[in-house]
Amino acid sequence: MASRLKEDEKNEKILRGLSKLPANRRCINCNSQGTQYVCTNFATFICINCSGIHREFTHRVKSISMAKFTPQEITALQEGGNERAKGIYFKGWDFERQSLPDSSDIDKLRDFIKHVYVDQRFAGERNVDKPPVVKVGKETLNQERSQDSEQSPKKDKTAPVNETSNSSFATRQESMGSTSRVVKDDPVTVPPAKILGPPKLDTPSTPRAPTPVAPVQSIETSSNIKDKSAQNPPEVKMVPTISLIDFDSDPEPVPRQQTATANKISDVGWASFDTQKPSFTQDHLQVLTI
Amino acid sequence: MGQVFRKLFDALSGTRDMRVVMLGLDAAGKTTILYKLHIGEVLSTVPTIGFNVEKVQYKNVVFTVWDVGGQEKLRPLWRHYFSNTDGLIYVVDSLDRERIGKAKAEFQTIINDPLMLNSVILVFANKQDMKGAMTPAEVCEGLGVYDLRNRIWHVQGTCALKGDGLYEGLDWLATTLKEMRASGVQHRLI
Repeated sequence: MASRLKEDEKNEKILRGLSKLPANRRCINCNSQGTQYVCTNFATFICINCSGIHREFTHRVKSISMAKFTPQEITALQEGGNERAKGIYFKGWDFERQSLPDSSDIDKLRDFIKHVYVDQRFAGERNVDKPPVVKVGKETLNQERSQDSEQSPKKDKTAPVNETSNSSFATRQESMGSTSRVVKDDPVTVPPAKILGPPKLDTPSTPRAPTPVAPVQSIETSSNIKDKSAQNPPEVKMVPTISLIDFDSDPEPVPRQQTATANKISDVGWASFDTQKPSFTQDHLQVLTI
Repeated sequence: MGQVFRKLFDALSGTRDMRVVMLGLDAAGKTTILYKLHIGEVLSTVPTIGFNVEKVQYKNVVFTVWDVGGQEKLRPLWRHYFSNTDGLIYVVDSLDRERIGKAKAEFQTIINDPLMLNSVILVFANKQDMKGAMTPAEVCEGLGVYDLRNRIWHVQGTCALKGDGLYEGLDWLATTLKEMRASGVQHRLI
């Protein structure tokens, strides 16, 4: 207990020290002063407003004062930080000419954060072959989510019109509460041919009713589908960058093909969900009276 | 004095008060749920340091909902919100399989607190719109809800952004509260 406390204190001290480094002193996204939060996905130091927005994209944020950190997280932040992250996610961003969005305009900031970390628009230099693929699994998900949500219009209108929408449809499912898919941070590419078992799904139209217990056998398979398709967007996303510079874009056909496959697989899943109909009703989840 | 009249008026008009505390790990969606219920909008939220409290009327029940920050170092403060609580809303990020174990540990600590033994338990399995989210049943399993004895509980799949499931949850709370009070189950009065 005592040692745990001590470690927390030590960690906080380290983090405070890190947050005072020149690059970490200001929020990497909006340049506002005072970075009380870190985003552990990208090892960046950010302000409270940006932490709220990062959360919308399912990125993990932690308060330096109020969260506890694992040694791994501390190391990642020591090795990472804003300076480093700028070299990755802002590679194609010209700090001299382009100005970061103002922290007061949440909508602009949201768009910006989406472009930088989800779409990774600036992750590759203008004539670089491929943007680095860093933890795209969750971001991709979120992009789909944002299209469902009330806040989506702002995001959508600025989204590049290209295969992005296609690829998100490939991983898309119609409803809430209906899947048992596993999300993993590190997408593992598995040949679609190996995917055999149908993902089990229940009725798409009942978000509110407690849904049935899912037998766990086919989760692995469905996660493969997920990962497979979740991996596509970053490659696809570079299309606008390329077309600007007029490089030939050979990666394009590949993702498209993958997307199609993924789509097909999830179709199989849907087709077979009827047979997997669970015999579990709302009453099972219900009240146990005193 | 005003309080007395208020209570009398409420008794006559049939409105009831219910004090609810809403807890859960950070980034589960508690604050989003609170404001979705309160003003019907999705606000852009920031991590809660401290708490938010709002009244939400549903049918003839006025819920006073306390939404308390869920980050690690704030969790020891949760117990200060337990006394006189009729119901617990425990919000779970259904996408966060990594931390479901942590969610369970915190959940068990809350419901086994002597001050919470009489409160009913509503679990919101939130973020059901996300692909890969655990189903409400999986969340049940993850929290160990099935093993509860002598507790009144309900698990509800929700999507705070759309508002799906939220009012179904409140409906359950309202109905359960009414039944409990009608059947004279020992209950804390506000």
